[in-house]
Amino acid sequence: MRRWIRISHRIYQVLQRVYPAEFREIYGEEMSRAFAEGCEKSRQRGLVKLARFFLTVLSDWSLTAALEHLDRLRQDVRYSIAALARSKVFALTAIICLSLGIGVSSTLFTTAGTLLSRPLPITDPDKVVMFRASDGHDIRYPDYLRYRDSNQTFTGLSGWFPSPVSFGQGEKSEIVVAEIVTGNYFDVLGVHAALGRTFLPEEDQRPDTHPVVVLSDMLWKQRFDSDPQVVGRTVMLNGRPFVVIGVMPPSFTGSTYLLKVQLWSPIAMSGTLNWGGGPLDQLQVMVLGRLKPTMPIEKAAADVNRLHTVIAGEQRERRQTLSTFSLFRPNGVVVTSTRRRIENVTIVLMVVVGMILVIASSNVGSLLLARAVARQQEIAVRMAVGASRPRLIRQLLTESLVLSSGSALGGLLMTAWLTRVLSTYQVPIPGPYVPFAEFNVDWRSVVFASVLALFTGLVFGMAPAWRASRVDLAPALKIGAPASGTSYQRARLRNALIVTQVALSFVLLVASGLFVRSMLFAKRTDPGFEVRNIVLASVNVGLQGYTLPRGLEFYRQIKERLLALPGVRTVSAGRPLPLSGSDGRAALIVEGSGSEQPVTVAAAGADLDYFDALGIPILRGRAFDATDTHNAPPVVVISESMERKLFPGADAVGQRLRTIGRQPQYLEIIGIARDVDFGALGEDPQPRVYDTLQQTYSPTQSLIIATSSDPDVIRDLVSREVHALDPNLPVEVKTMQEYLAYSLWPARIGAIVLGSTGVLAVLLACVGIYGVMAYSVGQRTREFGTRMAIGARKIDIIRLVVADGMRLALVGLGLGMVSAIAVLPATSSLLYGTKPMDPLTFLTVPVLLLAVTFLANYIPARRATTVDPVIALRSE
Amino acid sequence: MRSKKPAAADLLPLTPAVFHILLTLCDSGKHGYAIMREVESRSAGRIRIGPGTLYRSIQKMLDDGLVTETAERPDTDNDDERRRYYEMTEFGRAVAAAEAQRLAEIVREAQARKLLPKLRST
Repeated sequence: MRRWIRISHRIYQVLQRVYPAEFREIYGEEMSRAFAEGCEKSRQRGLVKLARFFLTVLSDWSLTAALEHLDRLRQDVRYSIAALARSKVFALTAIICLSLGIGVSSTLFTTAGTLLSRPLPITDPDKVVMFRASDGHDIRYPDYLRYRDSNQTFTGLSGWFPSPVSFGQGEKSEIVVAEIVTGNYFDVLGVHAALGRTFLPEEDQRPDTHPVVVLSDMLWKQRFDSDPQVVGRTVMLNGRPFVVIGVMPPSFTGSTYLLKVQLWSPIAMSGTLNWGGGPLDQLQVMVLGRLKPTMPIEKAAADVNRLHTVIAGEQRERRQTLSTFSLFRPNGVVVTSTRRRIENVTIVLMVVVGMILVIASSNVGSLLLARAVARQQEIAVRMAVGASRPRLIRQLLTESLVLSSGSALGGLLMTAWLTRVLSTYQVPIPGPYVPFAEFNVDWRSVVFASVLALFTGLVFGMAPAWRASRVDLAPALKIGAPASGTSYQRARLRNALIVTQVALSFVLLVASGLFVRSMLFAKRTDPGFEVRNIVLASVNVGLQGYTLPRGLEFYRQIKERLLALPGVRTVSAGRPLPLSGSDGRAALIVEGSGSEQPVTVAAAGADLDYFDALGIPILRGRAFDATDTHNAPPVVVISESMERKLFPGADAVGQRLRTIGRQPQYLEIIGIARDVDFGALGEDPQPRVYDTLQQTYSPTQSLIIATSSDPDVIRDLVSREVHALDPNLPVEVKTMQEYLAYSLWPARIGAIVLGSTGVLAVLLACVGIYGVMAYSVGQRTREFGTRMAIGARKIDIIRLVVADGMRLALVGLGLGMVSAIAVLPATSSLLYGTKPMDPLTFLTVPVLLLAVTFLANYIPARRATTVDPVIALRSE
Repeated sequence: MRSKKPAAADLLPLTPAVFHILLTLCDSGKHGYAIMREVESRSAGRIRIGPGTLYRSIQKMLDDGLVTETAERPDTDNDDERRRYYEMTEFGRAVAAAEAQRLAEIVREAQARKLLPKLRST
């Protein structure tokens, strides 16, 4: 028993090490003695008493050790706040710098996190999954029915797809985004209508029998003034009456994040709502399902693929590779191509934001280091009266953490503001697909900002705290002792921080310069077609259920009416328009080439006078004319790069192309058009074929109205003429300049974001350099006074200080140059007409950076020369 | 050490550990384990103060001026020179009295509401 008591005594002595060192030094021995005596007395009273004593001591130890540390922390925090309050300028500068770094990081985290991982606002979102085929295709509706009826792993499977729909109510009609869904869609998601109801099973059984619609909360508020009696009212969708049966709650906006879905209708009504989509058995849908309770997602995926193999086998389709399905939770943006783009942009922004954070943190680190130099005597006194080095380091580190806590708060405020701005920002995408994203600061953002603040506070506060505690007591304690600001190791750390800031600022400033030049180039660039005095009007008569003859007649009449408007020079049409963000594709075989291998080229539809209206020269041959009717032999115009590619060295006019498929068509090339920027501004010339809308009718056409006067005068008249023919037909009218805003948007946004970060980086670096130099100069005041007293001129002092600082700036520039050369080539795909190694940018930025760092050094240097040498010498 | 000595009322209410330590030191100075032992025996084992709580409380009481370390060593038998003895100061006595008064008022309230029986005065 005594042996056990001796062992427990040793264990207690080890446990005591958890207490703070100062507490242990004063009371440790007594606590050990009290423990030993308590053990002995309890042992004399029996095993039970002894066990109870051990339990009491153990619980007492765990509680009091934690409380003791908390007390120390409270003391340190109080001391830090008092110390920072005495240096308000320093504290404010540090907090603002770090807030900027944490703010941009937290904003990126919040926005990217929302776009990539926001769960659907539904019941138990973890249980809902979407299908994704490895070949990227959606699922045929009949196949969906097989999955729905034969699976063993889902409580329900729903099919759906988004579609633009003409929504009319009274005189106002507009194109909105709808989701065409199977009847069980809302049940599978587990959402209920806020007003009225969702679909009944019988409303999705037979095609075109139940024209019912559920509205979004936004549409209900905007178009129905939140009318509580909206259920039962009739609205016109694609020219047909539909009955409103319910309104969804504000939080639910459909399954496709980033699309502003305004209404839902059953898939049985797709014949009316999805023009050109064909009958139900040819529809393609996306599929989502709710897993059975406790069903693992892997097992469900295996079941789906098993069914897929069976279905593919039954259909006897000879596919070279059988696609496989994976299941994923529909968090954030689900459209794969958009998601990938967001991921790529996020990675670039993470690098940029990371650099800003490092600059801001280095800033604070170097300011803390400089400040520690100024507090040498205070630190020496504390060590002399008994404060241990670990205690001092802890206290200095607490100061750094207090600063970073304040910065976390500042950063979160900045995030709240920036996310509000971003939530209201409209990306100028043409058409009804208006991106819609709401960003909110939530607990995740708070945790992220807090962890980041803790991390930066520790990492960038540790080195200055460590250095500050390594002070030689004797010289530091002398009254009036000069601070050893030129101690080699301390200076090395300070220099490293400044060089880092300058190097990173250089890279960011070069990047921002490149993107600004890219934006300016994009704005100036000639896309190859006319951009002034053009008005565009997009109509989709298919959404109104127009038949072919009715559609042809509409377009004939509207062109006549528009041509009669004053100032209108030419009226034509096209599909799609250049730089609209969408493009067609055609697979063609060159007749007589000897090769049966089809070539895929870009394709667009062009009406009569298309090339004339857009100012695209026909280099050889002719454009489409009135003889190219529906009954005439099919003709095409090709771009000059397509002629170079498919008919090298030969004249393509008069040659023939053949389409692929069961009934190939033979197309005669009648003209060669100059290359234009069709997909993106500044793109490499793309082989392109134009067919005529007279021979390949499309219900969706963009009318091109070329005017000889101000296009803004014409635009209202265009809507009036369209509605004179059909008051319910939605029409979107823009000038070509407004239209081009979308194609310029990436360049503009890149310039704004990178430009801002470049400027921010330089400002932060300058604040850091100025702060460090000001402190350093402040410590050398006596030295400068002495120098001036023995004959040094003010210019000599200034030269001395500035030379120090500029040496560091040059080293930073050199490192920045090397980093920029290594890193910036990765941005080449994002730039218009500008190469990453742009000489003008690489020449301008160093000059600019040297100029601002010179100022940051010069101002404190100049102040140093204002010291009175007599006063300086008197204090010796 | 606090630069300004607080008033007795500023320190109320005392934690149970602090009050019991003061009660223990009413008659004479004691060392740490003796305090732990007396508190336990006075409360018939209901209150046990561990070493951590004891010395944290002593540290705070020293800071507040309720107790002081004393050179007097009442218990000379089996004494260990390394032991530190603590005694209550006048201020500590005043604070203990104020706390006792506060508790007595609470007891009177409880008696008035018949939660506690009234004690017969002798």
